[in-house]
This record gives sequence, structure tokens and C-alpha cells, in this order.
Amino acid sequence: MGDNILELRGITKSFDGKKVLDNFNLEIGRNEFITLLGPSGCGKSTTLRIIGGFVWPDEGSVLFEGEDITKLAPERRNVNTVFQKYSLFPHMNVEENIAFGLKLKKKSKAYISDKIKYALKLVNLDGYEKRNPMALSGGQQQRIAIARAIVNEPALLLLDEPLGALDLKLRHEMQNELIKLKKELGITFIYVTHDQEEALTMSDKIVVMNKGIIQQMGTSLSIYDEPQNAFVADFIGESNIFDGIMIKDRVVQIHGKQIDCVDEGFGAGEKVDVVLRPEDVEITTEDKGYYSGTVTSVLYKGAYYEIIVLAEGCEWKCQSVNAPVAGSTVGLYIMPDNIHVMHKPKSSDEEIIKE
Amino acid sequence: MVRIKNAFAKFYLALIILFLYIPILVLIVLSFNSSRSRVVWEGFTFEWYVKLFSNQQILDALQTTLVLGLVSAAIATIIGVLAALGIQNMRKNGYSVVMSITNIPILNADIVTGIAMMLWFVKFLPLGFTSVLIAHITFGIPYVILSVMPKLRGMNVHIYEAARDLGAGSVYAFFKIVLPQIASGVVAGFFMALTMSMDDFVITYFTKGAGVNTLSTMIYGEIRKGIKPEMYALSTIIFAVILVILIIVNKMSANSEAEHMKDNVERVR
Repeated sequence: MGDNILELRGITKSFDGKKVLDNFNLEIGRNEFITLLGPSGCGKSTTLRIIGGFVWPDEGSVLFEGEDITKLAPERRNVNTVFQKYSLFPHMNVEENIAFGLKLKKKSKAYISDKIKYALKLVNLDGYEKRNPMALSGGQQQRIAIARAIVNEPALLLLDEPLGALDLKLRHEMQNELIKLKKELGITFIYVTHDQEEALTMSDKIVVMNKGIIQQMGTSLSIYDEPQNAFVADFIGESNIFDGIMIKDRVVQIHGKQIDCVDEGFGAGEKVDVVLRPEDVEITTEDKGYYSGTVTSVLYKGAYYEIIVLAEGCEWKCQSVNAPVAGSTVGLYIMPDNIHVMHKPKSSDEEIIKE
Repeated sequence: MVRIKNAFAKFYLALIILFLYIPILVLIVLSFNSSRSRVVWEGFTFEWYVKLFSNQQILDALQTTLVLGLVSAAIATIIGVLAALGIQNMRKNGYSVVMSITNIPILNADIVTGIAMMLWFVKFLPLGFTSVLIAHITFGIPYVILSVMPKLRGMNVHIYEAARDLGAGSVYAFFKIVLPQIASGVVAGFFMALTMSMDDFVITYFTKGAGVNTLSTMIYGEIRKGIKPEMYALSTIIFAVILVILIIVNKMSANSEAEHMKDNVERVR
């Protein structure tokens, strides 16, 4: 209760004997923009469908404002969903689509027409009342779907990869509009996506999921800068992940070289995973770097170059605004702050996560 | 080369007309022939049509046929649509198994179905109108399922969930949202079941009791006594009615397709 609008407690769900969610716990605060992020099949959509009421969990409960709604029919929940593929009613015009929920709630005609006007204005589509939704573009259809959901004034809006079918430019525009919309409405958004960039841009809180288990939960910054395990590091942004051995506090050994870092509290001699973000691997002259290697490829990416360096038998992904010559020998240096040391997975359970 | 091909095409067309349409045409002409003979034309008459409609036996059979067709098609449509909804929600394995089973009554020889049903029915209820009705419903269902299924598969399943999400109960969401999407398939399935019911002879023959006659079983019985010109008149009417239904159905599906095209064109713009 208190500040949490929704709580998932010990949710377990299997399809055809395959566990999709395993003892899943999540608390969602009022007015949060929370994103469930993970690869396809990680259970994020199932979580959303359980909250929406379309799937019943095998075990566990869903609490909404402290009340158990685990087996409540979807039409009785103060929750609305924006589906992946727009899902507008093809035989109704835009106005009838948006009015659908309000008519069921027996609202007055004047109220409904006011609401439609307001919602269409909110999604920048005023004047589209009489249009046939199937004749609109993907972006416009998705906006109508959002308008149709928010006129019902839900306490919680669920968005299931709503921008997945749109092209990149439109997706960026819609991301900004969604953030704006969230601020204007002041309601809780639960957003599902497999697009890490989308998650990092929009969310107050990100829940990284894999194999039905929460891998890490936190703000965009904390997840990007301090991934808790190799899966999160690999999934969020690009990274180089190497095996390492902790020599003592603040010193880690990678590829046979002892390097200063800032991590403490590991056992001496403990085997660890070391994550290095490509933008943190600095390319310098041979004598200044920890390692020396050969530049194998240089790709222009717009704002920076993506450079692959072969060193110590591994490929190192680096980013830099200056391009070295392919084939040349360079040194690689990493600042102690930018080295992220993580525990190796202990059990086989965690091993799955890493996969 | 092209000329040979053309000649062959014309020959083929002539064969089709000769064997398929000329007999029907002859039948229609004979129904207006005032002679009882099948080879002499003695003048135009409506006599046989008048006689037809004063023949109580034929009128009874016509009524049975229509009632049986409409009722069995209506019930088969309801069951078929419900079945299609269930099959749609099955997982992949169950889906293909059930769909193959669904096809059995269509592929199975009518005589086998007919005899099998007769054997089954005599165990439980006296042969009569009810047994024929049940038989017709049974073989009508697969046609409904087969015509509704593609519509359901082509529909975005999320629109049903969207309706529930916006506050609609399951029944309301079905009638208001799902049914309009599959309506053309449901109507087509109903007419298919109706046509199959009116068309059927073999299964009806085996499952009907004494005293129950549809047009087809009655005509069969009459012909054994010798062909009366009223039968030509009756067959002509059946042919005309079915032709009209076919034209209407074709026109309807053509219209809905045109509508679809229009939508697509609009979307492209």
C-alpha cells in the first residue's frame, strides 16, 4: 500500500509446461513511468497481460491499490492497455472507437464529445473524428489507440511495445510525445519494450528481465552505469565482457595485466566478469595503454567511429571521435572509474541468466 | 499453333455447354411443353406449374425442405461459429487435429455418413423429422467452420481484448466487435449449410422415417412411378431459386471485396 499503486507478489506462470514467470515480485509506485525491458520471451508481455487481466497467474497475486484483483475480469479493472498492433475497431470511425469505453460507462453525450475533442487534441489529431481508422498511417492509428485508452481516465496505462511497428523517426517523435503525455496526465505508465534505447530515454525506472526473472531494477543511469550482471551489461548498450580475477580491493587482473579499478569487497583471487563500455576504452599510443593491439575495422557511425581492435586474442569494441588507421598498432587504456567488476554467476540458475 | 489452341478451347467450351447446360435448358423447355411426351413440342403452357402448386404432396415436401434447410443451417451456424472460436484459441497441435477431423464429414462418402447415422439414430430415437434435422445440422457444421475460420484467423485478436479492456463483457465484445469482423464468413457459412441441406439426397434418404419427405426424396419416389411433367416444373423452380441465391451471394462478396479495395487505396494515399 502507501505509495504503491500496484504490487505483483510471487507471480508464477507457465505455458505448455514452460515457465515464463518464476516467483516474480514487483512494486510499482504512483505516477511512475516504469519500463519492463528484455529480449523476446523474457516474460515482460505476460507480466503486462497479467496486470491487464487477460492472463491469470498460476500462483501469486496482483494487488491494485492494496486490493487483490488477481482474478478480476479485464473490464472491471481501472487499467487500460495500448496494444502492440493498434487494435482499433475497423468497422467504427475514430470517434466511435474513442467513445467505446465511455458509452459502456453510460456517460452523457456532451461529456463523451468533450472527452473525444480533448483526447484528440492531446494526441495532435484534432479534426479526425469521422475518419476511418484503417485509412490512417501506423503512427496516427497508435495515437488514436492511446486516445481511446486515456479517455477512460485509468489510474494505470499499460503500453505493450506500442511503437514497435513504427519507423525510427516516427518512433523518436512518439517517444517524446509519450513523455509529454505522461506529464500532462499524471498517471502511472507501465511500458513494455525490447528496445533498450527506448527504455533508457523514457523511463523513471527500468526493470530488466530475462527468463522470467528480474535481472536488475533501477533508473536508466544506474542500470547503464552499474550493471549488476553480465546479462544486463550485454543487453543494455554495447559492452566488452572479459573474464578477470580480483587480486585485492581496487585491483583487478584482466588478460594477465593488473589494472587499477574502484571496486571493493570482492574476495582476493575471486573470479569475476569485467564489463568495459566501448566509449570507455580509450585508444592511445602503444606506450600509454595497458594492452596493445591491431585495429581491424573502423566504421563511421555518424557522431563517432566504431573501432574494433584485436588485442590479447580478443576483439575489443571501442568508440572514438578520432579514427585510427585500420591495420595500425594502438594502445588501449581504461580509466579506473570506467571498469565495472561483477560477480560470476554462482548457481546454475544464474548461469541461465547469463546465456 | 494459336489457331489450334483456339479451336481446342472452343471445343472444350462446347462440351461443357453440351453436357452441363443443355440438359438443364431442355428441362426448362419441357416444363412449359403442353405435351406429356418428351419429344414433341405441342405449345406453351403453365399447366404443370399450376398442377404442381395444387399437389399437396409436393407442397408438403417443399415445406419440409425449406424448414429443414433453414433450421438446420441456423443451428449449424451457431454451433459452427462457437466451434471456430474454440478452435482458433487452440494451440498449434490441437488446431490441426481438430481441423482435419472437421474435414472428415465433407470428404466422407455421403452413403457412409448416411448409413452410419441411421445405425446410430435407430438406437436412440425413432427416425423422423428430428433425426433428419440432426443429420443435416451435423454435416452443415464443417461448412460453417471452414468459411468462418479464415475470417477469424485474418482478424487482429487484440481487438477483442481491447474491447474487454475498455469495459465490455465477453458477450458484448463478441457481438459488438468480433461478429462484425467475421460476419461475411458467417453469412457465407449459413448459405453453404442451407444449400448443402437442400441439395442432399443420400443422407436424408437413410435418416428420414416414413412419412417425412424432402423435395429430393419425394422426386426420387415419384420418378420410380414414371416421370410426370410437374417434376420438370419443380426442377426448373429449384434451379431458378438456387441461381438467384448464387447471384446474390456472389454480388455480396464482390461488394465487400470492392469495399476492401477502396479502404486499401485510401490507406495508400
